[in-house]
Amino acid sequence: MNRAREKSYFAASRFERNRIAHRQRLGYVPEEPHLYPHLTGAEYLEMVGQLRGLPDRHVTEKSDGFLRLFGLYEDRFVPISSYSKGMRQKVLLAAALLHNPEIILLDEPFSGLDVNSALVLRSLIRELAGRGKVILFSSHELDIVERVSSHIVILHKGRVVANDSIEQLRTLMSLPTLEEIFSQLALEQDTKAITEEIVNLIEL
Amino acid sequence: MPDERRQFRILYRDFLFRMVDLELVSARGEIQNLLVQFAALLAAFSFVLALFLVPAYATSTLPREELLSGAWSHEEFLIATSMAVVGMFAVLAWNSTLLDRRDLVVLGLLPVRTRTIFLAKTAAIGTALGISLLAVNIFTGLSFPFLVPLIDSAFGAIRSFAAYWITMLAAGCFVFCALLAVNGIAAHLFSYRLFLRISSFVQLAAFFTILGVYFLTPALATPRGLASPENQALLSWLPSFWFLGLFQKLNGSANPAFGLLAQRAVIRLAIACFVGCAAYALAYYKHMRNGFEQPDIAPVERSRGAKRIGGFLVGKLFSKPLERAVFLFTARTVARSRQHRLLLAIYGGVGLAIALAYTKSLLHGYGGQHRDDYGFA
Repeated sequence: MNRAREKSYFAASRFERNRIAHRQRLGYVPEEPHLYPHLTGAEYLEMVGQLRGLPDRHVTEKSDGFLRLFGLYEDRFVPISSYSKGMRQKVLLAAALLHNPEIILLDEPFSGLDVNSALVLRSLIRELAGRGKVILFSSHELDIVERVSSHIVILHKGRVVANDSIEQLRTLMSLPTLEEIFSQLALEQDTKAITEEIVNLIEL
Repeated sequence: MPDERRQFRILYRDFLFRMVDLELVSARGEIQNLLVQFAALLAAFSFVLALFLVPAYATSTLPREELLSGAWSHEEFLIATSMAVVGMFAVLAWNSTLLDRRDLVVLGLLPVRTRTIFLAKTAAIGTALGISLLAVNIFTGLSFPFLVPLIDSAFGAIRSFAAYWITMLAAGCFVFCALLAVNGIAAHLFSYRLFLRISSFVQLAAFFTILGVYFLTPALATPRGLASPENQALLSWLPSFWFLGLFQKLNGSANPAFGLLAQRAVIRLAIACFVGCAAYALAYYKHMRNGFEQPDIAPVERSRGAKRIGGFLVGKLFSKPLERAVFLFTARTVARSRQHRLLLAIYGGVGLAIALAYTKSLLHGYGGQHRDDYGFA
């Protein structure tokens, strides 16, 4: 996204001048689950909710609700240091959605999630997008991207090599799947040859 | 828009509980219990000292003048102990004074102003420093000043009490600010990655210096020791004696030896505070800007030759693959993990403390004067 378009996205609260207002509108799930391990899941959500300025009643109600719906309610008083990667990912998702953000950034959000939770998240992304939220979703799992995204940007070595809707890309490239489109645009290696070399190395 | 005061309170509480490197001392992260245990340990030490000092002074048959000059060594010992405790606290809290990468990732996404985070961090540091000073002086600070007031009256007792606590606060601030200055300058000069690498060694050096100074400081707190010209150079390097001078001056002593020491204490405290605060503020804002994208401690890139030599030596020393794996894992863990390095230093420090206690006896002789063996005939 270039600078001019970025400005148009965040025009209501000039990004450079009012970072606090911008962050208030943003929900972000980072790729790495950085959380405070000494806090419990409930305590972490409580802290995030309070720092975001939510009323105490809402914080409790929402964090309890998220923990229940993400299947973490039984472990809400367990320190995050004991959580699995999937559990941490769910805490991050809950923390990002707690304040009902307008823009949601998801960086590899399916990482570590069990099948049920992944299905819920996939459906949630569609539902939130349907309700007018802007969702920027970064992933290497092309089949999921293909299922949930309306618009796709393919980056290769820091450059945008494709930026269009999935249907448009299929038509333009005359290829049926995103994986094949990606292979055409961004793959430089001989996958088959590398696979053979790895197998040879295993059998050495 | 979020309430800044509320944000301050939440962050202050969180920073305060994470002041000491808790992952180092408690894997399960039982923060409140651990802090209470720390404070209780220091208070217990203070209680034992008070238990020794109060009856000794209360039942002493020495003339008042001799008793007062005999108390100098204990005053210096209490000051040195407070400084050592604050120094150890500063070493343990070394990595908590600046925001770590996790803080930057978690808080950087939230609508919290940099100023609020900075103020909460500073307030948490100040509170933790105050708690450690209070805990280590809680019993001695409530008894010792009333045992040796220079002016034998109610006003003298109150003045002695105020002088005691002002001195302890000043001594604690001096040590903390001096270490903060070292930490801040290192963080400001080097990149985050290099800072992490260097900071671990500086932390270890500070740890051993504090222990070394505490255990090897000679007993100079006597009228002759403080007045002797050959001791002046040494006295100018030993902070506990500067603050002894400050305590005596605040208490109303007219002894000229204390004037110079008190002057040193005030000037060096001011320098330490100014440099410490400035370096910390600069390092903090640099860290806030750059720490997010910088990697944590990473292995040094070694040349192929060094790798071969290292591999050859390890292969010769440890022929079995299991032994080699254990050795390499241990060596790499100690080299790259700050927490493990500090843990090792703590165990090393305990050993060093015992060794230094014996070394002191050897240096000064068994019949020589120690901080705690004179003043009471």
